[in-house]
Amino acid sequence: MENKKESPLDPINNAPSEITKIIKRILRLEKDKLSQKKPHINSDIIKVIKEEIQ
Amino acid sequence: MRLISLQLNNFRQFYGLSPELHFLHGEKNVTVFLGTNGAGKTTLLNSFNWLLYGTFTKGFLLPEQLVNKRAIREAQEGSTVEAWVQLKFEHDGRKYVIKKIAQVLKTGNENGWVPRGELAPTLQWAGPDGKWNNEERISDIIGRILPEDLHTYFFFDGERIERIMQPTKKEREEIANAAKKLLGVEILDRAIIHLNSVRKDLESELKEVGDAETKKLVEEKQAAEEECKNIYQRQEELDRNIDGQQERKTEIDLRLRQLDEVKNIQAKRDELTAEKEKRIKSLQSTGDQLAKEITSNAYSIFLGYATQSFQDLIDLLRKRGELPSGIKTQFVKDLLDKKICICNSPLEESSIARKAVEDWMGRAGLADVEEKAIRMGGEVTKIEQSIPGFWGRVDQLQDRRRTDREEISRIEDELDEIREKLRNNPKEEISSLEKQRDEAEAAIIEANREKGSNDEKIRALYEKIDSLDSKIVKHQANEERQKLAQRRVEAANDALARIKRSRQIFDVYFRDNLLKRITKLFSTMSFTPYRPTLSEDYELGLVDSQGKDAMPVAASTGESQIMSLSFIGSIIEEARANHAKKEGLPGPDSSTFPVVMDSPFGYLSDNYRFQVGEHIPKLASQVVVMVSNTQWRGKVEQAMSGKVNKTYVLVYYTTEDNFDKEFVEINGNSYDLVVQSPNGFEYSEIVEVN
Repeated sequence: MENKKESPLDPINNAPSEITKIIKRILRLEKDKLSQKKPHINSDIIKVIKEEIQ
Repeated sequence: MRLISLQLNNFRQFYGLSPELHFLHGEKNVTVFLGTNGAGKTTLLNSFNWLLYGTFTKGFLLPEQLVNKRAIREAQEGSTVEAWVQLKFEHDGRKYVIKKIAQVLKTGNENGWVPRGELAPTLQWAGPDGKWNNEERISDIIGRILPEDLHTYFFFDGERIERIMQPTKKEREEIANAAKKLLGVEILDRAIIHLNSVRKDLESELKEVGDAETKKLVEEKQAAEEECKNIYQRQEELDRNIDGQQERKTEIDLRLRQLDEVKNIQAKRDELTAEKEKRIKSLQSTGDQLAKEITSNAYSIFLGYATQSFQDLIDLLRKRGELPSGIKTQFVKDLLDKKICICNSPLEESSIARKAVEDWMGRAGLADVEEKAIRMGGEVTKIEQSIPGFWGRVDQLQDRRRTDREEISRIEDELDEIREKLRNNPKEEISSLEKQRDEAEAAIIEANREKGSNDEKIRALYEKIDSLDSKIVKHQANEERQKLAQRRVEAANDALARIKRSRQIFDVYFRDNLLKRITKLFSTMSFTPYRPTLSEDYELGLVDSQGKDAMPVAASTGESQIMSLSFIGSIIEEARANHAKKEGLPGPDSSTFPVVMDSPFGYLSDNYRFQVGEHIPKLASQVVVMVSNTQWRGKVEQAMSGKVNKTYVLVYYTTEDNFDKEFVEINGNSYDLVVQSPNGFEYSEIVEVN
């Protein structure tokens, strides 16, 4: 039987919970700043990782 | 994006201020503009293009003359005359107004005017609080709502659809990227870039707090990453070189085609090159078929020994008289339970008669074996019989490959001869062109070689980086801070790898979904047995799927049109589906998309007109159609009438005395499409039909 195809969300949803949280928060940050061509976002991402990994 | 209204002022043939042209949505989502040739249908389409993207469709002549001639003539010398277009729309809970102005200066010279240029567009928006704001990043905002690379699909010129079916490689990439952008995949791309840089920052922190060994490993990894980056840069440079040389080759071919002395030879070369490419494709496709045949059926030829031992075993059982068994276990068991034999002898415990019947139990067990033997015998025979068929197919495919290879080699010989002839041509221009062509070809081969070896280097470097990554992770950390820093680096690495994987799956997933949707839409509109295809780099094609092998077919203009409509309809459907998912990648802001179409029925036969007319309202949330009376009357009107919300008539004022009267009947009223100009000017007016 053919295996069910992997969905784009699988790698994110199947991650350990803290990694899923990090990714979702990063994607949300990116979406919020999507209208800016070069958003300064790195420090926000570092903050997310440091908050989630204590 | 939901269109609210469009207003034009002195724009091209539309004199003065037009009424506000409203576009509705919902169940009846179609707005129709009816007009004769030259009345301004294409101008209306281009008013959107110019306003939103600063572009015009290919058939739009004299694009520098945007201001209405009558308005210029009526203005006083020295005054500025303006043409403008204003669009109101809604997107993601905000109301927008975008306006763009072009100006000319009325003069006394021969022309009567000089251009003063276009003013930068203005964009204002109001949120739910009703407060209006000015927006400066206009192209960014518009690009995110309806990406420019896709605008030819949303603002569709039905008379020039060939670019949509046969885009260049670069255009295809742009279309694919724009479609993905529309679906929110840019978020993943940006996250990959930013997370990659954050990961480096976190690694530097680890280096600061880490021990000497960790520092060494991190440094080694950074060096490998730097090398990778340099190779990637070189690959891009090589790609540009290849493109450049390819262009040079194409130019030389073009020149050779124009030279009388050698145009026949070049034509022959073109023909041979095309034939060679066809053969190469066929060779690849036969190779694929051969691999498929071997994967699915080659096992049968290795089963000779197993089928023989099966036969030997069965023969032995038959010789011994154990097969056929002729008696079933259950039957013997019943006799023993009833303690009476079929010959009526009692089968008491420990009696000789019972012992004799009990012996049958062992032999009766073979009835199961017999049943299985019969079933397996059938399978084994089938496998044996399939072997000649398998070899036959393999031979046939091998023959085809051989023929293709021989043909390729023959063609190459002929191409060599042509090359030789041109190189030695007495006319210097020709021999020099051929030499340049040889150089370009050699440069392309060399660049491709270097690319191949670079790919290998990149692969090796990635392996090295992976191995260093695991070493860094495994390295014993003593200090608590180092452990924490390491966990953060690991988390960043893991998150990055997962987003990259997600992005990778998205590509395949997106293309698969898109093709499924295109196929479905195409089959509902087309009467042909053809099936659309979508290559890895988003080239649309058609194949005839009736026979065993799908054969590519050349799409007619009508089919190309239906393909293009299916393509845009599919992108919109996919965006809507993504938007509807609550849990998912952050998708598009809105699920509302308009499609504005100029003459989408021009190339279609009556049957197709009905089919397409019936499906167009389903393609997008709002549909604006510009049609001539002949395109509209009959099948299209019949198919779309239930979906039309608003109709506008473009009245064309002509200065000709002898003109053909043209009118349209709507809701029992008659509207003139062409009327005599009362003032010696040619212009158009837009009239709303009630």
